[in-house]
Amino acid sequence: MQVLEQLEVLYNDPYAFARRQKAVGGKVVGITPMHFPEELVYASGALPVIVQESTEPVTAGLAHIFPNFCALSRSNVDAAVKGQLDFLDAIVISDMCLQIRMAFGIVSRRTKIPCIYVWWPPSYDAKRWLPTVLPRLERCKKALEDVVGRKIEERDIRNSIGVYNENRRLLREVYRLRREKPGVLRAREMQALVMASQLMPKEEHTAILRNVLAELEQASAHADGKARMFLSGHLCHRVSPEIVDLIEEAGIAVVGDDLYVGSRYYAAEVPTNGDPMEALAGRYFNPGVPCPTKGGGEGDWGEYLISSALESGAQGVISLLPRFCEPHMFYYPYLKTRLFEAGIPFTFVETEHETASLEGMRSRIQALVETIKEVRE
Amino acid sequence: MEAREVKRLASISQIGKVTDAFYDELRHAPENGKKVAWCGGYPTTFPILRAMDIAYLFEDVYAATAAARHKESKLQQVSADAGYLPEICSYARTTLGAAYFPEAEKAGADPYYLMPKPDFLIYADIGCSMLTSWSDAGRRHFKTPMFAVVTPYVWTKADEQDSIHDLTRQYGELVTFLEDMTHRRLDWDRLRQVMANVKEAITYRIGAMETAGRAVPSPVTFFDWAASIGGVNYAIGTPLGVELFRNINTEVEQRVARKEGALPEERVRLYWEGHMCWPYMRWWGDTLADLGVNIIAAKYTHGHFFHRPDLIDPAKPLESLAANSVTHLSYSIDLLAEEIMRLCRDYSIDAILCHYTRTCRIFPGPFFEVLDTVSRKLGIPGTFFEGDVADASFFAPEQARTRVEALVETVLARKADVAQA
Repeated sequence: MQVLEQLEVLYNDPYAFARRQKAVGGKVVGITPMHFPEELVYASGALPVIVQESTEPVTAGLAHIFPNFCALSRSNVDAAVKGQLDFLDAIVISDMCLQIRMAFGIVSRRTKIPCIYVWWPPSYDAKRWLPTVLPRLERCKKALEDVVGRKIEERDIRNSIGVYNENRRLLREVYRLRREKPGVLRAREMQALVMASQLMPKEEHTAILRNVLAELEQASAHADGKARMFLSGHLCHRVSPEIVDLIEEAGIAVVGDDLYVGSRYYAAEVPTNGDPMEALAGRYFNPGVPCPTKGGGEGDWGEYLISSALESGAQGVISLLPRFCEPHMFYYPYLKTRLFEAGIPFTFVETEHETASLEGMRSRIQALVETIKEVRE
Repeated sequence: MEAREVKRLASISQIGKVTDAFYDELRHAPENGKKVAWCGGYPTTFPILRAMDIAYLFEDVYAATAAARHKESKLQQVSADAGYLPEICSYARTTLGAAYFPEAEKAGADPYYLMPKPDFLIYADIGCSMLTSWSDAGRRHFKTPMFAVVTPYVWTKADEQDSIHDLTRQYGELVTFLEDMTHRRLDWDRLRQVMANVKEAITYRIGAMETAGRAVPSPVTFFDWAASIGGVNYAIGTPLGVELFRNINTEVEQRVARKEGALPEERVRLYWEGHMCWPYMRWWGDTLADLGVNIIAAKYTHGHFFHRPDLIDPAKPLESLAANSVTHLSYSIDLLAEEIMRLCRDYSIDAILCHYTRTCRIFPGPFFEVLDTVSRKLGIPGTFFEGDVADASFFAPEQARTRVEALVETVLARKADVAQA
């Protein structure tokens, strides 16, 4: 699909739309993943962009951050010290993980970009934590007003919630069609579509989504003989396009995912009734897809993964774990056990910023495809 | 080379016995009708547990003690067999090894591996989000309730009171959680007495460290301070804890009065930045003594474990616990660098040695920035070596020795230049 090919430029140049915004005098505010309510930035009139992993090798950044930090952390410190984030008018450091907090603590010292820090509790328990979260979000709102030089009105936030909910709804429609018509979208296209939502003006993206949906409605599935797969993990940044290509080249059609640059990003909407700031804060406690940065029994990633994989018609699961991602590493033994008990074939793939060789990964994925074939036969 | 004789504090030797007695009592807690909590992160929840007669396993220190006693590799193998990757915090992997320890291997196993199962889990996160993932893994394994006390990170100094206020609320909620778990009410008078003991013990502890840090030569090595943490973790809030730290303080004061240094010759005074290197503590003690190096202060020992006795008011236990839950790990890099510079100035530090812990991110995260700031503002050099808190496989002794030797040479050359000028 031509429009999606155009969006794939974002893999190598994630801030192309942000530069366009700057060129016409607009403001751009970077946001660290995963759950910050972007609606608040959009309501300020600035373009919200989720900071991304660069495709460049980490070089200058190595003098500032140790190699046992995750790819997203190292990549962003590297980009910052190279001056590649200087176009940002501000960064919202949304603290849900110490690696991101630490990396952007370094960014805040190594650049002149104003940083707005927001702390989040590692819990789903809104009753216990909403009183802590709300004043912090209010302070963030005030700081954003200082960045853009105008007050953020309640109607701005309500409008923003509506725009975002519509975008998420349409993304879920695309997700549904990919499930119903396996192979209709390549994995790298689907990911580029979600990544674009994190990086470009929402209305523009929503218009693209409508066109994509219209084409997909007419398209037919073409996944005969392919193993239907559910991709899981990569909690806060995209999967390398080379890796998703490799997965498909092994004879796989991706029919579902819980990736951050995937369904995790658009799973939950913000309620449109009640106080809009409370609604924005409340979404953190109801993210739609369980997030392993939070503890407690309320959100069980294992349960979710099994039910989502089965619902999508997937015959197997590939767990994509970015090296050094603590929330995912700690969950892995449990996910492995639960998938095994559920009789769902799976494999585990560790990803890195600089992938030395894809061959080991290819063998593992091919082995999974063979297992699925044996189960089918 | 013959290791130079280091004068260890005699009063520290009591801690080994206290440690053994603690684990012995813990192992028998269920049969004595006590509830057992497994606690991660930080010991500020312990006074409440003690006041409610709840036995606890401090997961971090269980792992540290295992590593210091070279019992960690079996436990780490058990957690690896369960699927926990080697890049995970080695404290977590060690304690999860105790959680997953195979029933079939329990007969005849080292008693240290046989900890009673928890009735519930508690963790106190003072800045390390990994603790949520770790405790939640324990919760899934044991299928028990879990409660978190989490310090809102202090990005600017203005956030500090806000964090303490929020933590006070959280400690109140912890009391409710524990009352639900035990079906007993907390005796607040008892908690106030425990807090009075905490304040007295910690006042001695911090006082002893300050006295020793200001003395030249220092009468104590870092390794005694590290060992003394056992007194906090295993005896905090008890009369025994008070006695332990009173004895340490008295011994330090006596040594200072006699101008007695811990090393035969104190040539260089270091600040240790980062976590401990528990499997190699003896090696470090011997190596540094050979070089005439004494570590005078460290973030781990001086910035943690009830580091603010002045903020403990026994009449306000929850507020006191909250105030002591904001530590160096809760601070932004700017605030942390200020704290480290204060210690460097107060204790006449010559250089900084950073321990890049391979499986820990919260401690080494700010190293480069801290070294840069301290070097620019105070002219103090620094270096780092690679190792780990509890996984010996990440440490290469000769590489570490070379790094320290180079740092010592730099410091001595500078001192010589200053003397000549």
